[in-house]
Formats: sequence, C-alpha cells, structure tokens
Amino acid sequence: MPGLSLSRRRITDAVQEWVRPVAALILLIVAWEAVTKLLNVPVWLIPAPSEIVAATFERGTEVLFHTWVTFYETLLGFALAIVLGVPLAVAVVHSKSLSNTIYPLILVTQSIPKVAFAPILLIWFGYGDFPKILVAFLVAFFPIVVDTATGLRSPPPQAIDLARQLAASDFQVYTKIRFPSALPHFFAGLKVAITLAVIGAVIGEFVGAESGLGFLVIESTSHFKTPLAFGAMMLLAIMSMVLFAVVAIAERIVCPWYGRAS
Amino acid sequence: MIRIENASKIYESRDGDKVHALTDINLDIGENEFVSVVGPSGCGKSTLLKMIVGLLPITSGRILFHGEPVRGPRTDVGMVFQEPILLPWRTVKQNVMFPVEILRRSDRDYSAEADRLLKTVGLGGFERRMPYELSGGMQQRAAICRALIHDPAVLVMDEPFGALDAMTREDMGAELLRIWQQYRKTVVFVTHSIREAVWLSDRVVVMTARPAKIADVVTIELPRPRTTKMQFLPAFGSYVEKISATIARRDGEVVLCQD
Repeated sequence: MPGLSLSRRRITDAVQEWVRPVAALILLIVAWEAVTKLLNVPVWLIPAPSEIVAATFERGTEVLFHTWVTFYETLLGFALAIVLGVPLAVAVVHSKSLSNTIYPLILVTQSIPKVAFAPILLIWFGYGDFPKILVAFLVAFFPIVVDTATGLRSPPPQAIDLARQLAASDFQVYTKIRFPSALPHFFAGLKVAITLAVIGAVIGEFVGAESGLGFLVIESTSHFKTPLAFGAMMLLAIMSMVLFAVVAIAERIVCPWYGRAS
Repeated sequence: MIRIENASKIYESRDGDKVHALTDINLDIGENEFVSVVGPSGCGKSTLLKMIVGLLPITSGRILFHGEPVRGPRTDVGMVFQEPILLPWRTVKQNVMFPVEILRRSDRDYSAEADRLLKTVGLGGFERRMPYELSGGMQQRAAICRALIHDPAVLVMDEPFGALDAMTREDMGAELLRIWQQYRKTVVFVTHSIREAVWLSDRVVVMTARPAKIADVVTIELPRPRTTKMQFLPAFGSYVEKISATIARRDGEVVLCQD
C-alpha cells in the first residue's frame, strides 16, 4: 500500500523535524527547573524558568515596551543597511576604481569594534534611539554589501555575453540578469545581518539608554533582579529567531528556484 | 554572408606583453552554409566567434556581414554555448523568450513561435517547467530554441554539445541538422570533435595552435540529408583522417579529443 507508507513517512518526517526538538527543549526546561529547585540555587544566581516567567509577566507592560523599542531600533538599522548597502554593492561591482576606493573603507569601518565605537556615537548623537539604530546599521551593513556584491558578480560570463550580443543596455543586464542572480546571496547576507542587527541594537543600549531590552538587562542586573535579566535575554533570543525566520520565509517565496540542482 | 578579411586579434597582457590570439584569418561563409571550426584548445576559436558576433573588437582586418563591417553587437545572430546558461528563475518558455525581451519586441508576436520551437525540439509540454527540472540535453535544446526565437540569420555555436554524453550528443547533432534544414540558417559551429564537424558540416575550418591561423578548409561532400550511418562510409573516415593529419602536422602533437 504505497499511499499508507507515504503518509507514514510524512509523519516520521514531521516527528524528525518538529516533535523531537520541541520535546528536547521542554525536557531541558523541566530539568533546569528541577535542578535549581532541588539544589536550592539562589534566585539571583540562576533563577528557575518559572521564576523568570513570573518576573517577566509581573512587569509585563513595561517589558513589552522595552521589547518594542529594541525591535524597531533593530528593524530601522536593518532597513538602513539594505537601503545603503545594495546601491553600494552595485557601485562596487559596476566600477573597478570605485571598488578599489570604497572596499578598503568598508573594511576599516567593519574592523572597528562596535562596542568601542558605540560610546563615541553616544557623545555625538545623545541618549536617543538614533545611536542604537546606527550601531545596528553598522553591524548589519557589511554582510549585506559583501554578499550582494558577490551575488551581482555570480552570473556566468556567457549569460552577460548573451545579453550583450543582443545589444542589451546596462540597465537590462542588471534588471534581467544581475539582480535576480544576486537574490540568493542577498538573502544569505540578510540572514546574517538581521541577527547582527539585534546584537547591534543591544550594544547601543548597553552603552547608554533609557529603554530597550539591553537597557533592561543592565538595569535589572544592577539590582540583582536576575530573573528579569534572564527574561529580557530570552525575549532577545526569541526576537532574533522570529526575525531570522521571517527573512528565511521571504527567501523561499522570492527565490523558490534556489538550491535546486540544475 | 559573412566575410572575414585578414582578421587578427592581439591581446595585451598586464605587463605589456602582446599575445597573438588570432593571425590573418580569411574566411568566407555562405548563406545557409554549415561551417565548423576545429582546432586544439586555446587556439582562439571562441575569440573568433566573439569577434564575429561583435562582442570583441578586432585588432586589425575586418569582418563583414552582407558587406557591412561588424562594429558592435550583431542582434541578427543567435548564440549557443557549451553550457545551456538558462536563467534558473525563469520557466523554459520565459528563457526562450529572453531575446525578445532584450530586443524590446512584442511578446505576443513571438509567443506562438516559442511554443512551436519547443515542440520542434521535443519540449512540447515543458513550457512552464523550471530549468532544474530538465536534463542536460533538454536544457541545451531549450537553449537552441532561445537562440532561434528572434529569427536570426546566423547561428553561432561554441562547443554546444561538449558537455553532453556521447549518446545525447549524437541525438542533438541529428536534431540540429533537422532544425538547420527546416529554418535555413547560416551556422558557425565550434567543436573539439573532428567526427562531429565532418558529420554536420559543409566545410570544416582547421585551425592551428598559437599563433592561431587557418591551416586548411576541408569541403565535406557527403550527401544531404546526413544520417548517422554515414559515419561508417569510407569517405567519412578519410575526411576525419585528413583533418587529424593536418592538425598533427601543424602541431607536432595531437591535442584533439576525437569524441
């Protein structure tokens, strides 16, 4: 009975993909809870999951506000990185001399530790959201430029020849060949960039802020409210994963052909 | 149709050294003629093709299309490469329609022709498939349709069957002959295989290694239409032998793969 075996296989696939990791996660949380309770670990040292959840919900609206702040700082920095990164990648690919000029500069900005740079941004732009958005932008920018440039260079030379021989304009070569070819690389860059952008926003908040999950971590640890710090950390992890998933889903929708053997 | 007069190509390397890619090429290609170019690897066959279609400037001499010098890209040429080079995000039909888009012609005028071409090469029903769903041979058939869609006068093929297995290769050769007979195109066909060149062509141009020159032009007087069985005729064998000998004499060593 092929139909039956097929559906059975589908179920085993689903088990492999979802049930096992979720079960492992639940098991880990239960073990964590049990160990901290049994060994009587102090709450300020390692809080139990139940204490983390309780502390987070206790200040629910406040936590939600901080989450929102970090979320939009991350997204704005990320968006800025796309808006500036893609044209720069085009410039780098299009002109050799421009590439020779810009690339080292990009590398220099990337080589400066953002943690060291963030306080200076604070001096320049104050305590507001802008320096955080800027740090998120700075860390997200590099992978987007590098991967998009790689993608724009990825089509085989014959594909370009094919267009050129038909008297294609530069614009046509970009819109019909280079941009679509670059999409998978662009998305690879976005995946790295979005997770980095979250970290960037948090770095910005660490240095000096009045809101955001990074601020919440600093503030709660300074008062030994470890459960809340853990809660903020978990929320950051969840935010990062959700944003990554959104980019990954967008990639599958935009370039479904990618990764298929040709 | 195409006249190549004293064409030479000299590349200048970074340290100023001059590399003679092609020297004094003279060749006349007639209307609807099937001409193959054979020669050792790196002898400038691809360079010659690029100059013919106007993708590469010529250093000296000239190339004429119907008496008119080639100065830029010739849009009345269809090109086929060793790899199919189908765009992976486009369906088979959209790939075939690619030249129509680049030339900014109306889709509607060519849509039916694309379907007809695909049917001719046995890809009827595959119009909406993606390239990765096709075998290598099928992809190359689609690439040939793409080269023909804008009804070019000349088909330029750079080792089009080089990446295919021997069986598929022979099928594709037969297919190409059928298309050539049906659509009456001038074909310039570069290959590594002397047998393939003899079997398909009206004339075989034999080139030498650097500095690349034309060593000989052999007229193949086998009857048309050609069949696979003709490969066992004594005349076929002697053409292959003659061309091999020319290359061996000129080159000292034979670098050709005979299939």
